[in-house]
Amino acid sequence: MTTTMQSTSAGAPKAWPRPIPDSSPLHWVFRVIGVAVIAAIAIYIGLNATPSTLGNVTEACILAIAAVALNLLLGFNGQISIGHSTFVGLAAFAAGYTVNFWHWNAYWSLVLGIVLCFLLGFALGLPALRLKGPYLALVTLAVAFVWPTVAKKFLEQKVKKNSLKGTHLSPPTWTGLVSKGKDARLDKAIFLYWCGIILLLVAYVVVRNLRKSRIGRSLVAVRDNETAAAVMGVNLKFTKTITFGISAAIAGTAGWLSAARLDVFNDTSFTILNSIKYLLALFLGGAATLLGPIVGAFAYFFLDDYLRSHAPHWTWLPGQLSKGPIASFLLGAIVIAFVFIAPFGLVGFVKDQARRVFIVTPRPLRPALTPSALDDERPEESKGE
Amino acid sequence: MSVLLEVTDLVAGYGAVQVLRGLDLSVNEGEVSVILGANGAGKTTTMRAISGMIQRNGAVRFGGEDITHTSPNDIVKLGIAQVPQGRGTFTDLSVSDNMRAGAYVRKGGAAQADLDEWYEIFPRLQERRDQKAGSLSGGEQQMLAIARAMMSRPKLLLCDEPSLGLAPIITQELFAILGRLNAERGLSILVVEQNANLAVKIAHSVFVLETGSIVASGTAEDIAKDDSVRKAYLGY
Repeated sequence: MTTTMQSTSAGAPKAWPRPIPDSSPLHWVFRVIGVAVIAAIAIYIGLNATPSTLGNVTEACILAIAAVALNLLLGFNGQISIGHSTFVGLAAFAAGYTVNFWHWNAYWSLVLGIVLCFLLGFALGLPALRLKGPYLALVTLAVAFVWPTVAKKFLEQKVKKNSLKGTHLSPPTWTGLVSKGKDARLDKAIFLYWCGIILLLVAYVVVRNLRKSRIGRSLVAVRDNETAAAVMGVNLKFTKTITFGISAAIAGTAGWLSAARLDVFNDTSFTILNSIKYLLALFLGGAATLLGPIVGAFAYFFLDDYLRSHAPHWTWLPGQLSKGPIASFLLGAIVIAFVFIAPFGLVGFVKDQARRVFIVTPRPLRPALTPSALDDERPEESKGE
Repeated sequence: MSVLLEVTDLVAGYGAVQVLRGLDLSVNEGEVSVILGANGAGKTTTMRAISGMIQRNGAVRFGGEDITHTSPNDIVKLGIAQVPQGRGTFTDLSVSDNMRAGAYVRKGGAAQADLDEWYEIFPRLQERRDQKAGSLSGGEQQMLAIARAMMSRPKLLLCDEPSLGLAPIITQELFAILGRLNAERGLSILVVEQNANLAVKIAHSVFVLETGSIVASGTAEDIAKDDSVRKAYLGY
């Protein structure tokens, strides 16, 4: 960044990449346009899409919320979890059970799901204090494996069926959407779509504000250098367990939304495969970036969806490829290719490309800073590095 | 001159391995103490034991208060900051966020004023305040580590081998800065170093550490005069 500023001030300004000062009017224009485009797309889909498209977007939102949750834990705090499907499942079961058997209000079941997931996440964070990397991955892997068994026992003993009904969340009257009649299916889809968008937005804002706060800096500090973070006064135990808890609670909202969307679900609905999807979505989009998990989740979901519905009809594929489970094969191949092309995810890739056109430069230095004597002592050679 | 940090009969180690065997040292208020020692003598372990990062026995007193059983984050709050060995840069945080992380224990909003103050002392850091700290050179990262530690407004600064991996000219500059912090701000400093020549120049008292205990101590002049110590650590 400094080099750009020097070269422009040297009298021979380079046309591209063009520097944009941070928080300048132009920078704000770009930001506002970005937000407006996304909002317009969301509203357009909400007004015009068919129930099945709305359902797909809602499903993508569920994936995105889980990926956002995982990003907080893995991307920013550096703790890996392959057990996030458990939190999603726990919240879904809590919602399905309390609504159907105790006749709870569905929104209270969201609160319950968040609390339960926070507590379980917090408890899982305790072994994480002593374990790192692959060892922590193993513990969370075990949790993801145990969950279906626990869920099955729960279904057998408490529900006495082999599946649990969804919460059948219907739109409240103030929305103007109907829950009965011929438009019911569409209106319910619209309502769930907006639930998904709003919950995703809330999850994003929570993680964003956390990341930009004092706590957020300490999360990244713990990830980058635990010892240094500890000697800055960061309480490692507190930070790691609380982060695990918050991440699990956010994943819980994805589970609640699942329970609202699905007609029935059972012990096989939230398996380790879901956890792997969350991880894939996160890394496709770009871990440790704020938008990465959302972009990754949508890209993954719709790529998967497209391949599933179209790839089996592609007759131009050579020989054996045109038969059998071609969609998952292609998806795997694309993911592998993608890791080489964009190792920092879609968001990292786009940022790199954008940097060729525009560079956001830091706000200008405050004027009238007296250069300190220490700076003058600096030898010339080291100034140029 | 009152004693700020007093360590008596400090025993510490990692699991079954005992590294420090009854170590005594002290730092006077407003003075610089230096611990000299070869690799494996226990210098870094001493630092970790003082800042509470590892289990320790014996007595560590700071400003008259017993901190032997205090947790690391409370020790920082009491006024001990550390420049960890190998700089401990938070590589993915920007330079300014690194500095703000240094002020973690101070919940108030006073950090910005401090930030400006340290930018004035280290203009290089201000130039690069929005860059990822991992992109700084080794010397700049060491400056950042010092500025970051100072953000918590410590009474005592612990520096663990600040010269590690730095060019001699940068090391000189670094010790000039430490000397200035001590002279101008009255900051007490405990430095662990292998580069004895530079460290002894800014020191008021020197401790020589060998296999987990102090084998010689005294004022900087005494140590420089002591033939055996001079040969072993100053190399002339």
